[in-house]
Amino acid sequence: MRIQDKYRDLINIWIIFIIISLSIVIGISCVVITSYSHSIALKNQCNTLNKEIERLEENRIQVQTSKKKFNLGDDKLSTILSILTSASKRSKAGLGEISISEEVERGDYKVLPITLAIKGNYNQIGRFINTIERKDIRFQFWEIELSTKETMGRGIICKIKGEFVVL
Amino acid sequence: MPKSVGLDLGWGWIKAVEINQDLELLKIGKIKVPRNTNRDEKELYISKIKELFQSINLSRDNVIINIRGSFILARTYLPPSSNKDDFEQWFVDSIESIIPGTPIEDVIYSYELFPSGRALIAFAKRKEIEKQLEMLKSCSIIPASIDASCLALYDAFLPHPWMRKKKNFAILDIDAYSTGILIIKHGEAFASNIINYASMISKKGKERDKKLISYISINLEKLFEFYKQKENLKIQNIIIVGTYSTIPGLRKNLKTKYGYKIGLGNPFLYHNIKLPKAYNKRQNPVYAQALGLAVKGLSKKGIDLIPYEIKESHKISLYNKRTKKIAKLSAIFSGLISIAMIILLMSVSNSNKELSNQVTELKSKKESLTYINGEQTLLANKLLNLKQLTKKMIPWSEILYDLGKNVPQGIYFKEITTESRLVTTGTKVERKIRVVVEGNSQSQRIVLDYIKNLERKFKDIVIKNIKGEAKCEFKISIGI
Repeated sequence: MRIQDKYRDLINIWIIFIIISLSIVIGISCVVITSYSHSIALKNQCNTLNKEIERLEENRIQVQTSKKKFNLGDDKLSTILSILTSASKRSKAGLGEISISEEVERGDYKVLPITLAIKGNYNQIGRFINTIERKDIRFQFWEIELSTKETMGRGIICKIKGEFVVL
Repeated sequence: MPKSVGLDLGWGWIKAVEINQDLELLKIGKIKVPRNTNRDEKELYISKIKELFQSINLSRDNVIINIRGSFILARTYLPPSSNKDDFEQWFVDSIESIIPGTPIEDVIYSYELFPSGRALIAFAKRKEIEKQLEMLKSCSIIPASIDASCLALYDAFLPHPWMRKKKNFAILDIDAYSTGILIIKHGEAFASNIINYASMISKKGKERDKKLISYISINLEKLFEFYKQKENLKIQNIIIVGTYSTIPGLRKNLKTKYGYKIGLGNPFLYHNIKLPKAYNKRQNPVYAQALGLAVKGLSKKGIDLIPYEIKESHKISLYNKRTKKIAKLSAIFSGLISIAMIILLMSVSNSNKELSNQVTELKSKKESLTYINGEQTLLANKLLNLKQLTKKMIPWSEILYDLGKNVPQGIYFKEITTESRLVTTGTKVERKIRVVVEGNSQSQRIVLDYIKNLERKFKDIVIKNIKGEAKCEFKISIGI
C-alpha cells in the first residue's frame, strides 16, 4: 500500500468528525475563557473605581471637617464681627469703633485691614486680645496703643491696628 | 487488558473460549448445530454462531477461527534454507510440485518455520476462505486470524511434557461427524488429517459407539502405518480431546488392542488457565481446539489463512469501526460540554453586561467627585499659609501680660504704644515692631527694678527717657 493510500484510509469521515467536534469544543472554550477574562478585568476595574471613590469620599469629608475646624468659610465680615463681640463679652472690655477696609492683595492671600478701639482695664484688654488670638488665627495685629489720655484715668482705651487674613 | 476469543467451527458443535493476557478464563461455551433440518445449512450455522455470541456475551475483537474441510491441506516440508527470503524463493519455485494442478492465484497459503528447520505450510482454496469470511461478516465477526484444520491443537498442547521431550505423538479431536488428527514429530506439528464418519450419525446408542470406536481405531492404525512407512515416524502416544473423547470403551480399545499410550487431554492444566470456581473441569477436553485458537490469538504468531488484501481491508474496517465509536463518544462528549459551555458563556455575558453598567456608573460618580482634588489642594495651600501666619503672629496678649506682670509698686503706666519700621535684611523686607511703654514712677530705682523684671522676658530693651529723681517719668522701648 502506498503511503498516500495509507493516509487516505486513516483520514476517514469519522476522524474529520472527531476533529470538528473537538474544534467546536475548543472554540467555545476559547470564547468562554475570553469572556471570563473580560469579566475579571471588569471586576478589577470596579474594585479600583470603588477604592478611588472611597478615597475621594474620605477626602471630601476631611475637607469639610478641616473647613469647619479652621473656620474657613466665606462669611468674612460676619465672622470678624462675631469673634469681636464674643471676645468683648467674654473679657468684659467694651467694644468701640470698628473699621474694616477693602481687601488688599498680599501675594498668595488677601487681607482686610482692621482698626478697632476697646475700652476697659489692663486685664480686660489683655483678656480681649487673648480671646481673639485663641479664637481665630487669621486676626493678625501689628499695632496696639493703650492710653488713658481720653478717659482721664477712668479706664484704658486700646486702639488696635491689624488685618484679617482672607485665605 | 488484551483479550482473545478462540472460535472452533466444528460440523456438530461450535465452541468458543475467551481468555485474557493473564490466561484467565473469561467466557466459555458451546452450541450444537443440528443436521438434517429443513433450514438452509449456511443460515443455520450463522444463526447458531450469533446465538452463541449473544448467550455468553463473547467479545467480537481478536477472534481466531479455524476452518476444516477437504480444501485445506497442512504439511511440513524441509526447505534448503531457513532464511526467510531463501525460503520464500524456494516456496515459489516449488509450489507446482507441492500443490500440483492448482493455479497459485486460487490458493491461500501460510507457513510457520520451526527451530528444526522444517516449515509447516497450510494451503486452502481462496474461494472457500472468502465464503467463510462472508459468513462470519453476516455474524458481524471480522476474524483476526484463520487457522487450518486442527493445527490449533499444537498451540493447545505446546506446554505438554511430550512436546518438551520432543516425542512423536498424535492429538485426536473426536467430534460428532469427524475426527481431526494432528501428528506431532519431535515436538513439532507435522501434519493434519481427518477421519470422516458423518454417515454414522443416524445411528444412536451403544451400537453407534461401538461402530465409531472400531472405525476410528482402524483408520487410525492405517494412518499411523502410513507415516511409519513413508516418514519413518512411529507413533505410540495419543492425546484424546473433543466432544466425543469420552465415548465408553474408546480409550480401553486403543490401549489394550492397539497398545497406544493415552495422555491426559486437558490443555487448561498445561497452560495454567485460571478457572472460575463454578466451572466444570470435566468439560476441558471438549474445548481443546478453541483454547488453542485463543492462545494463538494472544501470541499473534503462526498460520494465518486470511488473504493479505482482505486482512488489510479488515484492518481499515476495524479502524473505521473504532473511529466511528470514538466519533460517537466525542460527539456526545462535545455536545454536553458545548451545552455546558454555552450556558456558562450566557451567564458570564450577562454578568459582564451588569459589570459594564456598574463601571459606567462608578466612572460618572468618580467624575462628580474629582473636584475634591482641587479643593484639597486649595485647602492644603490655605493650611500652609495658616502655618506661616502662626509663625509670623505677634503674641500681643503674652506681651501685655509680661509687661503687666511683676510691675513694682509705684509705677503707673501712661501709655503703651507701638512703633513699626520696615527693615531690609538681605533681599527681604521685614517689619520690626517695638513696644514703647510710657509712665510715671515714684523713683528711678523703682523704674530700674521694673526694667530688671522686663529683662527676664525681653532682650532688646532701650531706655528712651528717665526724667527726675522722685516722681520720675520714663519711656522704655522694647523690641519684639
